[in-house]
Amino acid sequence: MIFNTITYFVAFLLPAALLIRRLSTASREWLIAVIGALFFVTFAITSVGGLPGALCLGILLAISMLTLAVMRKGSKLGLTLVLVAALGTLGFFKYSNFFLTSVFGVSKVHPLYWKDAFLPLGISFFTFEFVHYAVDVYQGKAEPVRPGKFLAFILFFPTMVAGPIKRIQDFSLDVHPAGSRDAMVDWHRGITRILVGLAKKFAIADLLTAITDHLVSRDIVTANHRLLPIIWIFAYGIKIYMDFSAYSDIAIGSSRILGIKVPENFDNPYGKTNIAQFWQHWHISLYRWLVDYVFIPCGGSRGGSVATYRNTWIVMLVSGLWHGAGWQFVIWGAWHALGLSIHRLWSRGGAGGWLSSRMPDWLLVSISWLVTFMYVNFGWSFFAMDFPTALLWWRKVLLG
Amino acid sequence: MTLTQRLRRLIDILTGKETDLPTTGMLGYRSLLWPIWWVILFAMICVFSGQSSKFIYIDF
Repeated sequence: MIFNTITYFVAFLLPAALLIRRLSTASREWLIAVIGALFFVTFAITSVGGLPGALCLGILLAISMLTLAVMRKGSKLGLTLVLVAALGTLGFFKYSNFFLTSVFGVSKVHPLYWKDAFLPLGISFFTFEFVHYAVDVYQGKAEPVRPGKFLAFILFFPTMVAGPIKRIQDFSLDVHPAGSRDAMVDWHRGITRILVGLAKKFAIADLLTAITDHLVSRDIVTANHRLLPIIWIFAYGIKIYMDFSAYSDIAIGSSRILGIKVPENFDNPYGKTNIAQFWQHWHISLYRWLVDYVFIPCGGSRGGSVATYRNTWIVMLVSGLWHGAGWQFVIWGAWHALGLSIHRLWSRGGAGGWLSSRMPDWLLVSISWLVTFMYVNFGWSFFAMDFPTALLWWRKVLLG
Repeated sequence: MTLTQRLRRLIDILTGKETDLPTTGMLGYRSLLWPIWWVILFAMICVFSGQSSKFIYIDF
């Protein structure tokens, strides 16, 4: 979908890449904005929401205009307006049915349920970048930019749908001139990254679907050994990593072909030896966004131990709910909050030092890695399946 | 540079994660290795494409 379609490469990436180096900086901004708008409309119509989905571009442009207008002065009222508009739009499209169903019960018994609900293309990622821009300009961490640059930033099509989440301070359209060695290296690195991403997606992630398709209640109940559901969830863990890192590879590679650098999203997360390190290296741009715009505004780790634990739980529950409008995602967030809390207690309590004095380093590192890997992968049970199926999975794994 | 670090750098260059390229040598950007590597990757893509292929994160 999108990144694995010929349309994406032929109709959007290639024309943009051929044109961008031949224009002035100001023209580049509008080129990226216009191609981004066409990209949104094309893939909204063909993939997400149809014509109503495409019309959501109007909402995003309206929020963009509001942001540009009110953040020029950087007032608190302006910031509030942008936050209400951006988060309100996300809440309406993504969470209204979830909250209504949670409060009023199943959809059949209340009239407010939105039967034909859809998610506008990339709505979460638009929201992240609106919030980032408004907060950073308000706090003086970023200068207000001109409309062309802001629209290019918001409508930058390689990262529009699923990130990496960019920062306006790092978003530069000063690309290398056509024909220079640097431009050739941009093309080279971009093509390599895109091909590697597509190969990871098709040859590994999609192939694992044959195994992960077993994560349904019928197969879990009839599995003749408790090890099978564990193998299936490990396969899911590898699949989701390969899938999303492949997506990020294609986004980063596409940006590089255009001569624009965007942040990395993954740095060997499954090789880490504790859950805190895992989160610092998994979906890095989201992790940093959550730290900057949720954890720190809640007080971060400044208010003592209890406040730090509380803020960690808030961040992970928000992260869980962002990953999907369903209670199983909230539980997935709680699973990771629990892991981070235990890790913090463990490392603050000096247990690691006590253990390291009693066993060789290689053994401690190996055990730490194994525990982290298993904890993260067992947590995917709440992500991959609905809650009743996840409970079945746990029952099968624990009780056979 | 240790063997592990060299291996890591080689992987980063081959996967496109390394932002720059050596100016000369087997991994230089004019090296014949690259078209061969791209053909291998492209062949893998062609062989395995056509399966159910929705990106997990895309609808967020």
